[in-house]
Amino acid sequence: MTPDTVVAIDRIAKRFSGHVAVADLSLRVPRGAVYGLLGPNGAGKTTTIRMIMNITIPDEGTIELFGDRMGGRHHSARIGYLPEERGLYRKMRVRDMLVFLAEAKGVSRAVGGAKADEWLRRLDLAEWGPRKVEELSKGMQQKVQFIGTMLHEPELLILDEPFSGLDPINQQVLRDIVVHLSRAGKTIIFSTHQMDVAEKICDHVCIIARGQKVLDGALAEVKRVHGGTHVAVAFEDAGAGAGAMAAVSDLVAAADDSGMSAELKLKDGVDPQTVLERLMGTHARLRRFERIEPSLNRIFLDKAGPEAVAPAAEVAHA
Amino acid sequence: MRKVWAVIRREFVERVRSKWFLISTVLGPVFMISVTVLPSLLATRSGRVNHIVLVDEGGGTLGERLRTQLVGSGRFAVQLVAAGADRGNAVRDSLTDRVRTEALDGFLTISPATLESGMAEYRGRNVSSLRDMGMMEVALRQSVVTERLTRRGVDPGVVQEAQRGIDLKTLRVTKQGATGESGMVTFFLGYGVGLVLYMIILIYGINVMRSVLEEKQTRIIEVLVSSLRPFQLMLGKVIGVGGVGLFQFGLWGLTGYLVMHFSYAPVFLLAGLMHPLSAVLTYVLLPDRFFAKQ
Repeated sequence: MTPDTVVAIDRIAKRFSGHVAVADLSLRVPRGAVYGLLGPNGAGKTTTIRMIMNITIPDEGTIELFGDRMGGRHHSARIGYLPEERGLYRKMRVRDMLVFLAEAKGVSRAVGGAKADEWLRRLDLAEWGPRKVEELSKGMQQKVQFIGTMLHEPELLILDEPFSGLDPINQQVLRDIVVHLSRAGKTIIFSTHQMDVAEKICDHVCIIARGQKVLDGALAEVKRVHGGTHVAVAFEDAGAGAGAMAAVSDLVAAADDSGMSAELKLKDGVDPQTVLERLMGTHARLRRFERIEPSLNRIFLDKAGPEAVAPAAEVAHA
Repeated sequence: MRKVWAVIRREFVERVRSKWFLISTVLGPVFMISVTVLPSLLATRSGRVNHIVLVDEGGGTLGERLRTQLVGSGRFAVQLVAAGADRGNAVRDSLTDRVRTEALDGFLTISPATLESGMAEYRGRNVSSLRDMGMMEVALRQSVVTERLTRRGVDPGVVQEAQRGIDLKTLRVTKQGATGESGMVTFFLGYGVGLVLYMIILIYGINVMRSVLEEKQTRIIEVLVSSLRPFQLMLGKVIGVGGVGLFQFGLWGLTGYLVMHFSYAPVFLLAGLMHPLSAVLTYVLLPDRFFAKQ
């Protein structure tokens, strides 16, 4: 493990009553990275995070944090953890709750109180400080939980599905904070299956499917290696778009079609100019035609989607 | 230790602030009194005189002797009815009806067999009163013994002398020597402390369990166990909830002390008021003054 590696996972495995949750997983999280742990539901993201945090112990393999194997609980003062199954004491006052969470991380009561006030103000929750948690909306509670992970100014933030259940405005607020923390040099690991969010924030990604790593690395490198010719198209109306898509179907290897827009992976040797000419020949009015890098969503679908699962299943049955 | 202290304080403050604490502090002594004193009060209830009929199926002097004993206890007004064994059932049926219609509290039947085997029968509405039944049994026993001895030619004066009660005084001796404590007091003190201990373990044990349950239900446990060792978390809970118990017992103890030691009416009244007042003051003032703010 180099000094620039914050988390080093080496060939860990975890099984529950015969079900393999994680198998032979290795990854390195560089210092200062925003590291996306991506995968479909049940892929093993949360199990991996729980093993990093020392909540469950791997059956095999090792996990190093900050250069040693003492475990997440030992380093808890340096780690902010927002679990997927998050909760708060419903009867406690918001500010007291935050101070308690800070104290549980070893922060003094006075400092914890000051930090709580500062963050409550920053997230427009100052007036809710003396109120009970149960009086808050779900979105507000999620923001309070988010604050609770940052009061002790951790070097490493581990956020398990941090944006799920939030409205777009609050998602943006928390996303801005993650970006801000990243620029301040914090290392951030976050799990999600929202590829658009991950693509905007992460500079490193690891895709897990069925408990195993499918790929990992710097996002730019992952896109470069993925290869293929990709174009993005957008139509003025979805009906005409459907006809246009049918017209180019023989040129396309895979399509991520959303009706009004689509991302197309072209077959080998197909010139994007040919695709454009075909589209122009239809009655569809184009809003956009652009040669692009493959999106993370496309890569995710190729690596962990149904098309990737089918060959794997065939191999397993063979 | 700072982390354990945080858990202790959270458990203590959140509980002392709760409505449960206020209500249980005020109503706890009321409940304890109702479960300890009331049953014995009920058992020894009825200060009134019981109207009963004494059915004598055997004739002789036992009936009259027993009537005198029962009346002498001050708890019974007795009407003596002589009935032959052949009319016994009819008399019992008639008296049962009177008891049913509450014209009578009950009737005691003695027969020739009472002197031989000591068997007698009482039917009535007040059989659950341990005190009344105890007195009736004592009166019956003394009358039967006196009758038996008299029939054997023993001087009635001697019988009366022999029937006089005895009083065994028990005093406890410890390593420090003789004490003024009676055995009964020691027994009931031990019994009382045992009961209180049982209640404490039950109530506050359940509180610790509920606290753990709450963390599982609200799912905050995952955040906590990523920061605290399970031992630290549990230690904080046990001490915090235990502290609430000690605090509550302290309030009750202080109130009890004032009530016991000051018989001067206004002080007594003040102490009586202090118990709920102290709970209210604790609820309203103490958390904000001492815990919530920096």
